[in-house]
Amino acid sequence: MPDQTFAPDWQTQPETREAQGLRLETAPAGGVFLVAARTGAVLPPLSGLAWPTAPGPWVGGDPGMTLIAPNRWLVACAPAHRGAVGAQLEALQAGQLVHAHDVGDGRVWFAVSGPRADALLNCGIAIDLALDRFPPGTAASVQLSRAHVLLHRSGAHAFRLLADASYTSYLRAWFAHTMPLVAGAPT
Amino acid sequence: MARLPTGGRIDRTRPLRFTFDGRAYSGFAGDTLASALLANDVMLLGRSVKYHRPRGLVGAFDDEPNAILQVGTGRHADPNAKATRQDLYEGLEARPVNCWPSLRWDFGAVADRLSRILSAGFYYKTFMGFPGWPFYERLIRRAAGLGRLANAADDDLYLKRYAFCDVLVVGAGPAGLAAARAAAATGARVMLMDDQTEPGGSLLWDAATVDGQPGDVWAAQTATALAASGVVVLPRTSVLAYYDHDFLLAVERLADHEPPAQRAGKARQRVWQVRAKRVVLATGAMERPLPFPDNDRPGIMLASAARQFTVRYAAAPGRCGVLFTNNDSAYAAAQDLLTAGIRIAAVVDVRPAPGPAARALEAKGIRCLTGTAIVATQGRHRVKGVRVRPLAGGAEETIACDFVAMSGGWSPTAHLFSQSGGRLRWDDLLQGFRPDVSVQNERSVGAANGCFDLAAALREGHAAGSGDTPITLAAPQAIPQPPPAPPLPFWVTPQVKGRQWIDFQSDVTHKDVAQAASENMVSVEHLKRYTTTGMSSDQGKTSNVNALGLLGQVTGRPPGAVGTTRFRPPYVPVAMGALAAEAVGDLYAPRRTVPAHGVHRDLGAVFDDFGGWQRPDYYQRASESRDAAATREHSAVRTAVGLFESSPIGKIAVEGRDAGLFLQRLYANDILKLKDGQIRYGLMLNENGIIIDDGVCVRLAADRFLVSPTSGATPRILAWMEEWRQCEYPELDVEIFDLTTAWAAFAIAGPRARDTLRAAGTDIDLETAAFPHMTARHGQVAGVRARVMRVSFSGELQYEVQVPASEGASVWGALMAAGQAYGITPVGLEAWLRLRLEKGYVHVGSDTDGTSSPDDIGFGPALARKADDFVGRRSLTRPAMVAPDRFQLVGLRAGGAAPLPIGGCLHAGPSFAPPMALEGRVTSSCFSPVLNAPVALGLVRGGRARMGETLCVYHAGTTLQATICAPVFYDPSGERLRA
Repeated sequence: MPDQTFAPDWQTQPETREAQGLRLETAPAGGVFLVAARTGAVLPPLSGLAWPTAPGPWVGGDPGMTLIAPNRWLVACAPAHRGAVGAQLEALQAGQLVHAHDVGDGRVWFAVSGPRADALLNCGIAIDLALDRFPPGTAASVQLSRAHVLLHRSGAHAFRLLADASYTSYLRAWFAHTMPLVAGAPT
Repeated sequence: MARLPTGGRIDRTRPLRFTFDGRAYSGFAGDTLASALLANDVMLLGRSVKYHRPRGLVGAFDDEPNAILQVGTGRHADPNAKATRQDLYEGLEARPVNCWPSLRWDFGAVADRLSRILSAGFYYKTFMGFPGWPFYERLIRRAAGLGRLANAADDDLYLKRYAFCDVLVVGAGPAGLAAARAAAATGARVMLMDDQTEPGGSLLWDAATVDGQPGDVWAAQTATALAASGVVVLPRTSVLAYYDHDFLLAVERLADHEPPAQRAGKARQRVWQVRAKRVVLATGAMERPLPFPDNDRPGIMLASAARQFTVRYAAAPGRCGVLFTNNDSAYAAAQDLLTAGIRIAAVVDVRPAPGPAARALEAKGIRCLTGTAIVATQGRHRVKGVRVRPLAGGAEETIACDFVAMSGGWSPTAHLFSQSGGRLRWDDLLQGFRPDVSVQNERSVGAANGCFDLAAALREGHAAGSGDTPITLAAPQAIPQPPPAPPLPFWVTPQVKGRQWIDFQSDVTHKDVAQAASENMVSVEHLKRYTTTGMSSDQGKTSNVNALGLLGQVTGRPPGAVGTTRFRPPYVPVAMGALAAEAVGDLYAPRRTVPAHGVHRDLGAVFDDFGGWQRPDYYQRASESRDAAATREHSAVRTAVGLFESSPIGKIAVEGRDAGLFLQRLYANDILKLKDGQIRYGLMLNENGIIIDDGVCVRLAADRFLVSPTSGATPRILAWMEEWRQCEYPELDVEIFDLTTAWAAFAIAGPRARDTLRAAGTDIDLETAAFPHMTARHGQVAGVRARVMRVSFSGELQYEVQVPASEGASVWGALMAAGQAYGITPVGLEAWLRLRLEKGYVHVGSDTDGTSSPDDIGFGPALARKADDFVGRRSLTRPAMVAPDRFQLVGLRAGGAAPLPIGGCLHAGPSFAPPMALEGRVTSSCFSPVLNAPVALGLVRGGRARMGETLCVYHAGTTLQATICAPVFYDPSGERLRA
């Protein structure tokens, strides 16, 4: 029989959850653009930001961008800047420089902060989150438990995770389960 | 009472009550369940697995093979807890296992009387080809079981944690602490894991001085300093497994030492998955038992166990003991026992000449019988005495005692080393196997490396911890000891009657080993499987070397030539819950939700899992059944209008100058001929010509396409397309984007679909002349930018409206409101699939299988017209793919009023008597409200040439009739969908 106790919401309202120094905030994504450069194109800066050429760095703030695959970037911005960033990318697209799609309507941001944020995330993410290995300003495509997310370290004790919105309820449930356990466990 | 009046590392100010086998006892904080039972003079703890022999403690920690107890009750029941690893807590309830009706009077003990016929290989010889094996298997399993699993789900919570470090040190004994200390001094990231409750290892019970301090004090201070310096120090953490690339798995017992009631909201255990750059294994060593007749009686234990219980827990193994040994370490145990006030009746040493240790003991008035062995033991539920005899021959003597402490030498705990792939080698001085060649970035140190001198072990640990990095920190110092005399190989007591136990947990005796050898099971691998030695939760911790030594002796080979088996993970048993961690219940697998999920829920949707998505199966009104709801929804689409959320259907953008050419190669259908705005249904094949997916493809512009794989297959098809783009056609100018969840999609289907969409408000001309079937348009719907496609999976006039996902719920609401005047009804997947079945539309995966080709489902002629090559085309011409007797998709009309069973076997009849040739199977089936008759699709051998033929349908004991017909039951001309 289908489980009727599972009652998630998809496109989330902002939500905050706290547990002994750990803080989780959920918010709709705003603008999230997948950008691929056309063959041989030389891309001008976007909002003054040079396009990163290696995976890892998260360039800029709002908007910010990271290389997610060869010749492929993810550009994210707050809802207020979505139109402006989208217009710049449309101009690049019109100039036959890039292919670009705004997928922000299907994404959600999770923000995790607190002194043990890395410990919390390492319950589900199998990469090294030590400060000197994954410093602030770094991003990576990873699995959080069984959901794919883009992980961005925004501060020493602060991370952002960009996830497909269809996984919102799953990830919320994961955090709801894991946060109090991590908060109550040693180390 | 066996609790010593002083000493031990227990907290006598914190008494704890517990029960065992229904009787109440008390212990202290710091006790293990085993030490507390021993302190209460409880020696009989369980029954052996095969012969139901009375058994007591043998070891003091991981090495314990006998004291497997049921700890806890109900959901918290731990079925195979080792009493030696279980910390005592207030209210702990423990019960013995594998005994009935009681521990003292066990019916199963009759097996011991039948031991002559139950020897090694009994099952193989008796039951191979034996009739009724399932019956006997049940009996045997019941007789040989250990603990019982709880019937209810485990509601304890578990955590999983990934971790990374430069140096992982396993074991916080002297060598491990020295290694961690040195590694930390290099500035490395260090983790130190130890399975005991406090650091120190042997320093907790073997008095020694390190850096001028008592060993236990040095250990505690060192661990504290390490933790303060940033080393991750994890007590109660057992490393279970050592995999490739220095990846290790450990389980930390966070709350096993607390009553279950206090665990609420906390993790019981945490699994660590550690990737280390270097690993130092300081796992110590295990003492071996000595084989002698009836050496398994309760009260006969390892000398090191007797010593640990006495010194660490102030729990005396008895009042008067006999020590039996082939090496010097038992003499140190004897000294500690004497110091604690326990009487030693004699030390029996198989070696012919007494060494300094024996002479020191004799100076205290203790008898030391050299060149002598125990040849018999007395007592049943507890040893009462032993008979000893010189090995060279002579008179036997009986010595009364209430415990025996035995020592057959020491084996490095090389389990993890072996799991890492390292090779072991035999060491004659040690009379045991020790690590030889490491194959990973690992070093074994201290006793784990066969180094039993404390000073040398500390130096070894220090060197391994620092690696090649020079540090100014000096190695911890201890007073070097002269090397002990090597143990005398003693794999069996000669010239005695009775069984000598080699493997206590698996009930393997010296006779079993000899019998295996006599039946040519001379390979160590054969010995293990034939006798079961080294199996079960114990994994041969105390038995392996004795079994190998004995096998070597009876086959005339040195033990080193016999070799070893590879140790397997886990090192100690682990709860399944810990391995699953959070992945249970709602978190077992992600359940993806659609944009209007909340709206569906409010409309009474009953959700089910479809390809990982939670989708409305049907919308229940009042007490309506699933079938009634689906029929109602189905009728609404056929007569008025239905609204169906199809958001999970894939939306893959394929763009670039060569996008059309790329899709032309991936689709079996002709894509290049599509004009802008046109849509085509297509099949994707693999290289073998087998259908892997279907869907529609829209040409949005000359260089832009939108592909819609089936919802469950979208990630797979996306990966498939990327593989071809990146690996096979890198020269093409193509980019692929997955836009699936960025857009919500709703299908408006039915004769009033156009009216509904128009009422919702749109700037798109919906008339057929302007917007014909299989075309797409862009515009506004309900005030939201939208892409609208005229496609139909229902067989009716249908529009699929795609809008930004964040607007999905509101657009759904607008469409529902607009359709009220036309009788709009939300439609679930059950009704949706019935609609397509009536129309004869294929559901890939249901109506196809891993052998289905396009021609099998009727697409052969259409594909034959395509001039260009495509993936799978070559395979379609192979003889097997064009054989006339392939399974082909056809319609099936049921002979009666009941729908045909999906999966029902089609056969010629009249009776179903396998093995027999099957003519096919039913793949989809439902009752058609429109036709007022059941309809079905099926794959039938050569089906298209058998129209009108009647077959039998067998399913679960019943047989129905079905007549083969064309697969399209409803509106075969397609007038309705083109309206």
